[in-house]
Amino acid sequence: VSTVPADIAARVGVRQYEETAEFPAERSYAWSSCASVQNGNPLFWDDAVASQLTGGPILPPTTLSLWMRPHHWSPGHEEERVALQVHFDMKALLDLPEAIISENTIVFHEPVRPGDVISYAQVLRSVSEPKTTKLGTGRFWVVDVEYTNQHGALVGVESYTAFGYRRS
Amino acid sequence: LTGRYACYDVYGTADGRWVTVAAIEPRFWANLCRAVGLERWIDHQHDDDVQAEIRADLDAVFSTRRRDDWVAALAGADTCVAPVLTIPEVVADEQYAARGAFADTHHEAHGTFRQVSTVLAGTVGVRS
Repeated sequence: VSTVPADIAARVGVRQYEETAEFPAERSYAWSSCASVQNGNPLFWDDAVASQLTGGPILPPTTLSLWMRPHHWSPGHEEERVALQVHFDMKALLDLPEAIISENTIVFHEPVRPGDVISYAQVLRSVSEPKTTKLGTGRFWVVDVEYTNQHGALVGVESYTAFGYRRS
Repeated sequence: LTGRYACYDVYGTADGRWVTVAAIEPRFWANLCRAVGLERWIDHQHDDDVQAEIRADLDAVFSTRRRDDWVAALAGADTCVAPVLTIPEVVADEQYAARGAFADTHHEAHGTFRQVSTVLAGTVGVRS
């Protein structure tokens, strides 16, 4: 018999916090990202190569999560804003004050192109039974972030596995 | 995680390289302090008044040995210490290689180069 509280189990599979990015996907983020890891792939630097291979410029797949990360401050928002609200909801609902992300997997679909306006939603996928690790006793949960472009096409899914716990 | 605490930072080593310290959990912080002879800071992990002193002590300690020596001594001892790899080291890392994280791709004008082995339309790659 599952020990996951019914109100939390009811959230599994439900799309939450659907939002649209505050600005279009753009290249300076991508170039900064490539420069930081010395990624010289001409696909991201040479428009002729990008046009030949992918029908036009695309942004590095590894920049996907940039489009859902709010700045800590923006006009009209005085409080710190978090990127993965469902994760913080789980900590509060389960009364588990500490948490780590133990695994992050990204599946890429349609490429993100400069000018795309990316929307995203968070989906709680699972909650484990209580577990005890070196960190303490708590539960694992998995949250997916699903990204779509302005045409409704899926561009990627990020899957975060977290372990929320109370120090023993 | 924003640089406030010395227990979560990057420190230079004797060979000009770096290690990461991410000992957020008190027990792991205590393990690290004992392992490097800084027991006096065990109970001051979140004491704002002494973070600069702790950081200075850790800087001094880590600067005495090479990165890989520190990693060999500390990584397996629940201290949350790990090496900062250079880009060439990341690309050559056996763990990433085993997972097929990088691939060789060829372009007629740009030649053959390594890239993150995401499958992209039109690329000609060999996972390695």
